[in-house]
Amino acid sequence: MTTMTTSAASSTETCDVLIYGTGLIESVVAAALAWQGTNVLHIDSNPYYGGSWAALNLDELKAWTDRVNETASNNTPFSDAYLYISRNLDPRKYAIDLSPHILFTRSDLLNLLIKSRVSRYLEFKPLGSFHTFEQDSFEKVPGTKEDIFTSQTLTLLTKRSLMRFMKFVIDWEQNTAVWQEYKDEPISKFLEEKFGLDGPQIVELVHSIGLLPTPNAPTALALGRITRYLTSMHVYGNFPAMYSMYGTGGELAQGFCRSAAVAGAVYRLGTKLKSFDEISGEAELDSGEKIKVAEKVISSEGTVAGDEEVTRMVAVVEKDCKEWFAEGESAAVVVFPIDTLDGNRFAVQVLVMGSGSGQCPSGQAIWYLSTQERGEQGRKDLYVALEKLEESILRESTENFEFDVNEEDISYLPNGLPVISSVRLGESLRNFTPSESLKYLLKLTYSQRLTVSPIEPTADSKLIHSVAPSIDLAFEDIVDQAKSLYELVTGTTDDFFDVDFEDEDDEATATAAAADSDIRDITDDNDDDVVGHHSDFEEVAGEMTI
Amino acid sequence: MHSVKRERASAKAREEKRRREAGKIVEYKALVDKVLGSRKNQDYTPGTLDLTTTLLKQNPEYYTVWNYRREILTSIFKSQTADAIQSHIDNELQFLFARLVEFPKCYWIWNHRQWCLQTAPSPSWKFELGLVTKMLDRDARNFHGWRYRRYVVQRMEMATGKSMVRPEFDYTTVKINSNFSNFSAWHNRTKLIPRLLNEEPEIDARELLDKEIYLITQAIYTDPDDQSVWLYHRWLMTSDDIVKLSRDERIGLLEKEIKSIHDLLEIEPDSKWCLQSLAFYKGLLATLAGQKVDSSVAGYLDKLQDIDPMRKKRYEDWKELL
Repeated sequence: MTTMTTSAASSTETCDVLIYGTGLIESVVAAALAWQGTNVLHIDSNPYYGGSWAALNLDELKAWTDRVNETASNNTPFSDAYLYISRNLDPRKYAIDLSPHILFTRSDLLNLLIKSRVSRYLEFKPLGSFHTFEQDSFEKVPGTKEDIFTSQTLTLLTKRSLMRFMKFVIDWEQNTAVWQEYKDEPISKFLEEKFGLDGPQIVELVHSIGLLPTPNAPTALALGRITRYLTSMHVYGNFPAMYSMYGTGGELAQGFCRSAAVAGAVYRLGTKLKSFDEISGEAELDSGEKIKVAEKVISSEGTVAGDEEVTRMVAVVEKDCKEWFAEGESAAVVVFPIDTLDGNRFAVQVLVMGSGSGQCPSGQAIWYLSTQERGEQGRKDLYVALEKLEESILRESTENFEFDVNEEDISYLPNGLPVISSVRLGESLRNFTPSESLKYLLKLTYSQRLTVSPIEPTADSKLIHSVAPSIDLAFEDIVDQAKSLYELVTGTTDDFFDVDFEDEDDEATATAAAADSDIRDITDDNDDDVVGHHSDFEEVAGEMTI
Repeated sequence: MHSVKRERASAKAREEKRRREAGKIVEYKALVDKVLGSRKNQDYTPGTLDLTTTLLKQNPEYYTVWNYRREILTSIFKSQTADAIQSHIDNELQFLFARLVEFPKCYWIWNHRQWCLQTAPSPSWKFELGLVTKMLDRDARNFHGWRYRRYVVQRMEMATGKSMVRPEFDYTTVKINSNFSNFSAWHNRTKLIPRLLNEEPEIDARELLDKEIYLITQAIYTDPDDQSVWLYHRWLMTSDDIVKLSRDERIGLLEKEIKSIHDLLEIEPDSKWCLQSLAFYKGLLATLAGQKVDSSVAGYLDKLQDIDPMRKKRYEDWKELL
C-alpha cells in the first residue's frame, strides 16, 4: 500500500486526497479510494467519527449542543438545539443518533456493506414493525399477501385493489404505460384513479410503506419508495428493514473508515482544516501542519448546499416500549400522516429504539421524531406527536385499563369473529386518563439542514463538497453519491470497490447467494415438480459459479 | 436449482467438467454393477449394506437399491434382539433425515422412512410429527410431507386412541394463513372437515360451511390467479361430505357464490378461473334446476378461448356440450 512521506526537517506531508469530515458518504469514498491504492488522509474536527451522522454519548451531546448554538449560521448543518438531560444518567450508556436512518434489505448500501465486508464490523437487527397513526391508534401496516388475506377489517374489494397494486408496483419501472402520464402528479391521485384505492389504504401506502412526507409526492418518486419496502420483505425474514446497533449512520461511517484504514488510509480525529490553497494545493491544519494534496480535497464541513430542512426531537423515556415491537425485535417505526396532529402539513416520522438497539440501557427507549415542517411550527407538530406517543405507551403498558362493553357495541363477522365498534373504542381510549405519567430522561430538539441532490463542483476545482444526510428515514442514494464523488477524483466508477480480498472466503459469498436463492426456491417451488428433479445430481455436483 | 444463474462456461471449463464427470460416471457405474451383482447373489451382509449407502447418497431415486437395502436389513434383523433392531433403525432414520434434507421430494426416501417406522419395535411418532412439521416449515407445499403427516397422525391416533382431528385442522389453518397458495393444505382440510363434523356433533355444519366460504372468498379476492383456492371453493360447493343440502338449498348456495364471483369478474375481467368457475357453476345450476344453461356461459367460454389458447379445444368441446 502507500504511505505518507514525511520530511524530517519540516512537517510537510503529502497525500493524494484529503478528506475532511467522517460522515457516511465521504467515509465510503475514503475506503473506495484507499482500496484502489489512493493515498488518503482522512481527518475530522470532532473527537468522534460520523460527523452529522454520528451517535453521541451524553457528554459529547452536551458539547455538541453548545457548539451548535455558538456557531449556528445559514451554513451550518444544525441549529436551534435545546437539550434537557435528567440528572444521574451515565453518559456512556447512551448513543444519541443525530441523523437516524434505517436500512432496507434490498438496497445498494446493504450490497456494498456485504461486498466491502464492512458488514463484518457491524451488528444488525431486524425492523418489521411499521405503524400508521389513524383514528387515535396505531395500526400495523399490511405489507404482505399474508397480512392482506388475514385482515379482518379490509373489504374484499379493497383486498383485491391492494393486491393488484402490489403486483403492479413490484415491476413498476417496466410498466411505464400505467403511470407515465402521472409521473409528476401526486401519488395519492395515481393510487385513487388508477387502482381505486381508498383513503386509509393510500395513507398507509404513502406514509408507512413509502415513508413519504405528504401524499403529494410525485408518483415516479413515490412508486420507487413503496417498492423499496415491499421488495425488501422476506429477503431475510418477516421484516423489510434493519438497523445497526449503537447508532446508525455513524456506525456505518466508522466501519468504512476502519476498512479504509486497513487499506492504508491515515486517520486523524480532532483535527481541523484551517485553510486550503487551490493554486498550490496546500492544506493547513489547525496544528500548523501543512499537507500537500496531489489530487482533491473532499470536504463535508464548511458549506451545506440545498435548503431542505428537518426539525428533530429526541426523547429518552423510562419505558421499554416493548408493546410496540414485533417479537424478537427492539425497534419500530410510527408515522403520523398529514392532518392527524392538529392540521400538520407534513408527516411526523418516529423511529423508536429500544434498549436492544444498544443505544440506551434496558428499561428505557429512545424516540426519534422528525418532520419536514420547519421552525416553531415544526417543533409544535413534534410536541403534539410526542403527546400521542406518550398516551399510547401509557395506555398499552398499563394494567389498569378498563373498558365497558355493551352488547350493542359488538357485531360479528361472517366467520364468527367478534368486532367491537371502533367509534366506541376510540371514545373510550380518548377518555382514558392514565394513572401514571411518563418520565422523560432526556429531551432534545434541533433543526437540521439536509441535501436534496449532490453538489456540482466547478470543473477545475480541487475542492469538492461532500453530501449531508438526506431527508428520507431510510438510507437512500448513498452509494450513488459516493460513486459521484469517487468519479470526480478518479474520473471513473469502474473500479469502485472492485477489491480482491486476499484471504479467500468464497464460501461465504457462495452460501449467502445460495441462501438467497434457497428462500426463493422454497417459495417458488411447485408441487408438480416430482420425479426427475433430483436424479439430475450433476446439477448439484457441477458448476455453480455465482 | 431455481433462480441461480448458470454462467456460460468457456469451452475449456466445459471440457474440464466433462473430464471430471467422465471419471465419476465410470466410478458410479462400477458401483451400480457391484451392488446389483451382489443382489443377484443374494448377498445380505453388512458390508454390502455400506455399498448401498454410498450409492443411495449419490442417487436416492434408484428405488431398486432401496428395495435391496430393505432385503439386507430384513435379513440382518432376523437374528437380532428388539433393542438391536431399534438401534439399527435409529441409525437408519438418521441416515434418512440427511437424505430428506437434501432431497425433500424423493418418493423412495419417504417410503423407506415409513418402512423403518413400521419395522421398528418402538417407533417414536412424536418425533416423526416434529420432523414432518419442520419439513413443512421449510416447504409448506411439499405434498410428500403432507401425505407422510397423515400417515404419522393416523399411527399416533391408533397408538393413543385419541383423535387428532382438531389440532390437525388448526394446523392447516396456520399454514393457510401464512400462505394460502397451497394445494396440499387445502386438500388436507377436505379430509379433516368430514371427520371433524363427525367427532364434534355440536358444530353446526352449515355454519362451518359458511365460515369456510368466507375464508376461501378472502383468498379468491386476494389472489384470483391461484388455482388451489378455486379447487377448494369447488369442493365446498359440490361436496356432500360437509352438510347434506336439499336441492333448493344447494341452488341458493350456488346462486350466492355465482354472484360473488361475478363481482370479482367485474374488476378482473380476464381472470381465467373466474370465467371457468362461473361456466361450471352455471352449468351445475342449470342441471339442478332442470333448466337450460344461462346464455352468458357461451360468452365465458369464448373469452376463455382467447385468454387461454392452450386449452382452446377443451373450451370448444365444453361449448358444444351446452
